[in-house]
Amino acid sequence: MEMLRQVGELAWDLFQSVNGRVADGPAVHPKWAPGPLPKSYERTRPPLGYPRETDSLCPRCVIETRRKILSGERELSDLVSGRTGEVKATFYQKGRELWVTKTCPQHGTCEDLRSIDIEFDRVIERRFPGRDFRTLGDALVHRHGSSSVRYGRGAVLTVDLTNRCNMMCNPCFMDANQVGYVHELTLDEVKKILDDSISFKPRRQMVVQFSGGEPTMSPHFLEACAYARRVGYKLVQAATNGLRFALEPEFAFQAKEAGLDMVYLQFDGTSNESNAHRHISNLFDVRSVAIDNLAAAGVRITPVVTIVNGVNDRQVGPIFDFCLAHHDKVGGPAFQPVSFTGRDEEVSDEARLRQRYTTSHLAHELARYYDGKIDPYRDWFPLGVSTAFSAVADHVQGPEPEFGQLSCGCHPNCGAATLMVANSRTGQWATLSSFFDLDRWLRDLDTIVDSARGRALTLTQLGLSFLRNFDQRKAPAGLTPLGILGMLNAKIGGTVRGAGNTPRSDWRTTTILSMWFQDLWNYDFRRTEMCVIPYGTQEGEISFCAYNTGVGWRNIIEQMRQVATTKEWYQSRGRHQIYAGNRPIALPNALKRKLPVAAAH
Amino acid sequence: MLLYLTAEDVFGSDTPRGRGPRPLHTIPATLAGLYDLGLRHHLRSAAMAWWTPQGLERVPDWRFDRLAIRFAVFGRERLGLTPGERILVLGRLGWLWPTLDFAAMGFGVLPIGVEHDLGDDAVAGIAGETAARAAFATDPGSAERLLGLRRAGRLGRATVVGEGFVEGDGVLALREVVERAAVLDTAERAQAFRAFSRQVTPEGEALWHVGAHGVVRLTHAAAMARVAPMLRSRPAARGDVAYLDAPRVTLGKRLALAAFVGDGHTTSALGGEGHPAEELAELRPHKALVSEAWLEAVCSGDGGPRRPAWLDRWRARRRLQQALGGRLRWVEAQVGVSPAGARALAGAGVAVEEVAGRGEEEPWRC
Repeated sequence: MEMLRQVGELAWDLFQSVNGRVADGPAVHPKWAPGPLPKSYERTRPPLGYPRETDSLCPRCVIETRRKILSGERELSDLVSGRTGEVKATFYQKGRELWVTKTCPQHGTCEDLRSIDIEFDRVIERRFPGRDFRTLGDALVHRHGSSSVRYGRGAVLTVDLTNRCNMMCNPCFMDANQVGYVHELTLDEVKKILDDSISFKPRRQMVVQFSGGEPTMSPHFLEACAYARRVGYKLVQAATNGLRFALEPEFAFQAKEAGLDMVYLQFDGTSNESNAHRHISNLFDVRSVAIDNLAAAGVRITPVVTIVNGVNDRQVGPIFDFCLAHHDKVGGPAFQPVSFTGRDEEVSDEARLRQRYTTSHLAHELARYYDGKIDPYRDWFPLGVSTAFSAVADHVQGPEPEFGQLSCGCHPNCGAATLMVANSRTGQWATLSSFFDLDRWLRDLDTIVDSARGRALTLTQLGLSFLRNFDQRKAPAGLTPLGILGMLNAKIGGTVRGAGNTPRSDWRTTTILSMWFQDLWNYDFRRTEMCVIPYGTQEGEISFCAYNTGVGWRNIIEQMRQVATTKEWYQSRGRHQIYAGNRPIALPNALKRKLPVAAAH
Repeated sequence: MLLYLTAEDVFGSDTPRGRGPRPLHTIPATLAGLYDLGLRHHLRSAAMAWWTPQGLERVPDWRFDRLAIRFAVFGRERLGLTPGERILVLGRLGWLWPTLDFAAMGFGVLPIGVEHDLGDDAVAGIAGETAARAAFATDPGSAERLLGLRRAGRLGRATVVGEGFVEGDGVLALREVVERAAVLDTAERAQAFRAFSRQVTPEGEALWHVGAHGVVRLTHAAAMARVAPMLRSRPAARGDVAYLDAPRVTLGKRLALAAFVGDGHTTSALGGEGHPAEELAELRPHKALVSEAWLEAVCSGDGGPRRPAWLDRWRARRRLQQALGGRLRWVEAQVGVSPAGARALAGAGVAVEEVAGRGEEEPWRC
């Protein structure tokens, strides 16, 4: 096997020695793109490195302005064109840590922690391959002044179906059940949002994620899933607390039939105690039932963990253990370091600094928990590396497709992930980069895309690059080059072997994902303008952070478009159950989904 | 008269291998239980389908189930219906019939089906005698009739629900009801409904049916006695399509709809009016509950064998196969089939089983 790697190395060098002497081919101009596919050196990058200055917001000014707009003292247009509350922020090194500081002429200076290990952030930024296209023809969708999304298509369109919820969590992005009004989309509005979202370029494949509130509380949840599936969204997801799927097993099957592919399941730990801050005493048991029901229905599950320092920060290792042990039901976890927004926006400075958790915390905690098996500097990559993967797939697929490959090209400070392989039979697992040189592979992908050869030569280069970067000596026992090729094939849209042609194997890929949403203390407009998780709203698409934090478009749009006050809603449409008060939830038995039939005649 | 077409013998079967007819292992004791079983454990893509100007519209099981739950919850919480009370359903064949039957039976409310060709006096009389709390119209024409009766004070205390209404005192627009009921559709209410439907007893009244022949009252046990033989002897196969011709709703059709939803396999296709050949070509049903007029129209229409006696056996078989969609396994005619119709089927080489004297109250026989 070592010989194979050396042959691959030699053949790659040989190939490139010729390839480098031939002029690069012209870039493909697909129908879905606003221009020819960019070469790696043509991709733009936001300012990176430390120290650096960026455009940010004063936490106090923003809250005051929002309040004035909501009370009618100021116009909404001030928010779009007035650059309200904007200040300069500086990211700077303090010891080994990375901090952000900003000074508002009115409210003074505020500081916050961005990373406990600046070197980790430098590594992540160094691996960022560059931005996607600038958007074209999106004037009606992106019209939110300095908060507008300007690059790429996004990867996940989030649509809040309702702000009602059947829980009373703390933290909560949106202060569900407490704002005093109900904001709920009609089915026609949902359809319009979904249609508008695929109306401009670049027109890439997208995932739609229905969120809330609790999206399953919306009367249109199933219909919305069915419509999204019908108009061609790649994957239909729901960000849910799982209560409905636990309380009504039939609902999981119905959602699957309607088109739901995956749930982002709120998940805070592997015991009832670690979920206690959600105010349901048997919440972990409830989640377990939801997982059983969803898995039985064939809905994939990504546990989503909001991590708060001092609350559940020690749960990250056990949660990943849980995911590995229940690999047949759940995928890798998506960790979300706490973002102080919604009902947490009034947090004190002392509490904020005490509870602040960053991606670097997560990387180091996992390194500690697994004795260095997950290396913070070797194994973590920005989510934006997906741009490099999709660039190859787009190049191979040529100019004809109506939609480009899904690309999660967000800012390197937004999210990072470690790609892993795990054996579902033996329980072995390893990070991919521990035996496969991902850094060099990403560089090879750039070389392949830049030279823009035909399909056969592109695939040849991919094969050679794969061979030279795969180190069998370091790979877990039993993992063959073909096995890993099959898994990587799925990651680059089936470019090598065709989509759906991944052979059955005990080995599978899994990820640990960290998506750190901004809050007012670390806000960076360079991140919002290349957001990959836009919110689809009645007022166009808005970056996740601009919507939930930033200037707080959520508050404004939901209040403007409210359908009733909460009191009126309860009177005219009836109440829904809210689970809180540290009481347990009574659970039904899981549904055995098998038609009771006699043997076939 | 019952006609039984042995399609496997005549046409061959296009049922996928390994997906042949599979009888239910246990047949519930109540219609509510049958519906529940069919919707919890179904293996089909659509519970219902019907003809629209744009073509065939399919209603997936989840939508049908949610609609039934929503109607039930709305009836309980907004109309104040309690177990033992009665609702009236009037109109032509449509999706509302099985939905309301399921919703009402699941909460112990008695659905009284009234055939649409009954006169206003009869409808008013039934509403008065049964003290129905709500009257649902399944088509705009019936809605107008109910509204007229309501305005004339002949519907007693019944709230009228139908399409195209402007909401007013004792009148609800169907669209509004569906929307408001949707908000009430929570996990807790849905599970309460399911739990209640499982507690319905066989001795309890399941449904009434009112037509020109009079009133038929069935308990759950009696209704299941009519449905169960069909489920046992003619089990459904995955992907089956059953065709029910419009516009008349008979007791047989209501029970058949219960069986088709309950078997977990069959898609019940509700016919439109005036284009049977088009419907058959698209639906290619495996079984049908049709009127004599419909059968005659199909058998004697363009492309059908007018005088099959002078055709050779093969051509007659082919023509009838094409006319009926090519997959029909059996037909239950709601009334007697004329000698010409029977001859047409026999001429095509189809075994015809005749059951003389079968009325609305007799068990289902195949």
